[in-house]
Amino acid sequence: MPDPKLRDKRILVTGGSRGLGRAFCVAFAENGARVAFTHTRADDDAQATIEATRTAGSEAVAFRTSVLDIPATTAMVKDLEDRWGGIDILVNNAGVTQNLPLALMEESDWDLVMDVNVKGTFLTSRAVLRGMIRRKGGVILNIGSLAGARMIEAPVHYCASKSALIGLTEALAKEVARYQIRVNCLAPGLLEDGLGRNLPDYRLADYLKHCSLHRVGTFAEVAEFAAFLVSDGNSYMSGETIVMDGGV
Amino acid sequence: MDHFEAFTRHVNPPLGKFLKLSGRDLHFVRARGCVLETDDGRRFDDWVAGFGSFNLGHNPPELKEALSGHLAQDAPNLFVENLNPFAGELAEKLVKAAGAGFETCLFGNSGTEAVEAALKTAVLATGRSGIVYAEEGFHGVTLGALGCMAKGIYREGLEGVIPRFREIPFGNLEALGRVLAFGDIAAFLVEPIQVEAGVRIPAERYLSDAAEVCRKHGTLLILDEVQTGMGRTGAFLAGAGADVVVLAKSLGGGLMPIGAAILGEGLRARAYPDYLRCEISATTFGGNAPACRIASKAVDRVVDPAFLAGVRARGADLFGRLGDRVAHSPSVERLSWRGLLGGIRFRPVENPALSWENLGLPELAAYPVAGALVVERLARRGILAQVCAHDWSVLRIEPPLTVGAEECGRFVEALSDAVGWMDDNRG
Repeated sequence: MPDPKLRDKRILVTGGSRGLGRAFCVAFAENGARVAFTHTRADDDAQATIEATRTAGSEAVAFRTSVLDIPATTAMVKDLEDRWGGIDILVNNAGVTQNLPLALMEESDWDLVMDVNVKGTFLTSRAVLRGMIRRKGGVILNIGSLAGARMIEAPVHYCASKSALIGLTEALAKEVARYQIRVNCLAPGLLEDGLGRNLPDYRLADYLKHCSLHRVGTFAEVAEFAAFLVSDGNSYMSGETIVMDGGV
Repeated sequence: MDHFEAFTRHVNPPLGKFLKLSGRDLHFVRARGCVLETDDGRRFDDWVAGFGSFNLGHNPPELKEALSGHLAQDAPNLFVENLNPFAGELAEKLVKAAGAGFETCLFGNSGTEAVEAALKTAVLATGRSGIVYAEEGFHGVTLGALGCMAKGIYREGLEGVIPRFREIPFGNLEALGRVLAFGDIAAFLVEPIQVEAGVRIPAERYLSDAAEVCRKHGTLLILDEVQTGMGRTGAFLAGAGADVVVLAKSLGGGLMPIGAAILGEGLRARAYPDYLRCEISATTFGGNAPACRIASKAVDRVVDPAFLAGVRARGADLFGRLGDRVAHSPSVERLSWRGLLGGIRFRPVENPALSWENLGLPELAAYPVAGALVVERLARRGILAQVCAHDWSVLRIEPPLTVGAEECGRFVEALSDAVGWMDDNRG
């Protein structure tokens, strides 16, 4: 059996109780990592992630906190550093969207999506980076979206927020490269269990028509690739946004 | 799997997808009075009330108590081929509450079953096979009831098996007289107020005159009071003069499914004259004990004159304020109401940015968008609302009858803001 690529890595995933976030936790655990995750919704979902991660071989730690709650994020990072001795990898996965056309979008809608998706990434990264800089090493993976990288039919605030993550990734990668910290962005296309399952048939058909692989992706595919991206095996990539969309 | 997700996957995929897409995939976990609460602690005032199923609010304490008390007694649930005291008690209350001239009840589990029982009773009692109904009606979705349904999506693809009943314009006594003159019509089925057609309220004497026309031609008048009954309009029933009254929804207090056809004197004997045929309109769970006991309690509550006076007063205050605040808006075509049942019809939206196509739902292009936009604005303010099934330009106003002054105040403010937004954006 090959050596797990994340053996003994200490990973924090934001928004880890459901969907892609849960898949990340499981994939990282399967690859030998210790995992912590944040969640804001039902504890049942968080418990399901803990159990799935345990099955994958790791005892996950759950924190019910918002990425916009600075004191709680600070306390969580301190807790993990005390518990683990540091955080090696941060995956900024927490995000929200609303299916709103511009005509119905309010300032509060814009602020919510930009706050969680962009400001939340900034705040969590800032909190975790202090320890990474001190230890002179670490990896940050921001979870973007095809909607932020290509011209597709999606809400403008969501697209804008995911595009912002590309800029944030590049600037931050440049700023912290001197500390041997790598920052990348993974931008998936439609996935089978996420937004893709709830799209109207005509929009899903349109996506599949333009997708070279003629199918939506799976959480497991994205999570397994993310495990590689944050691993030491990917040591010479930083500031990059990788679109993973089946060839749209 | 998350059981809310399981609903989308295994119960109603198109509805689940639509709710997700429109940001209305709320995870409700608690309901009390007029308020629904989500798993993340958000609270919503319920102004749909289960399309009139929650006249007494969600989980009314006295009904919950009656239900748990009944279960604790280990009383029989069904009385198949036996005397059912709980059905007897409820029927006694219903025939009294419905007014002079009523005698017996047929019980089922829903409004559509009660409509079926009423139609069958009329056919059997009169020996005629024709049924007349008012256009834009809504009486349920079983095959017989669909014969009285407005043209449109509920009937499409099923026309070949739906009975061919005769449709006449709502509120038109001349048309009623003409069709009844053929002498082959068993019943005229109509709602006292057409809720799904846009809360259409007929002229004051329409129902009493229709009853007279029916009597003249030997036709039974069936009033579908599924949404208008049980105190909704400030009276136990909205209409009068019927030979058969159909009740459901709030009859079960929002806790139990039950439907009832309340029959006028002699009708049961004419339709089901002997032992051999006395159960041909019965259903196994129709008249089950817990449903009847809850319904008895619900009837007790809504026949209380003080309760009904409260409904009338609350309605007059609410719709008076809405009349002052929104009725004169350029977006509003009309406001109609009685008791705590109302509808606001909105004028068409001209702004192409607010077309269904631009909102990502091109398949809805044939339907008015105005009502749905107001529903969306209200949801932002924590108010659950819905349009009428047959007229999406009408916002239904149908809160629990227990709605308080505070909730009404929130609704008036939120609706005023929504209408203001429409005024600014519809052109």
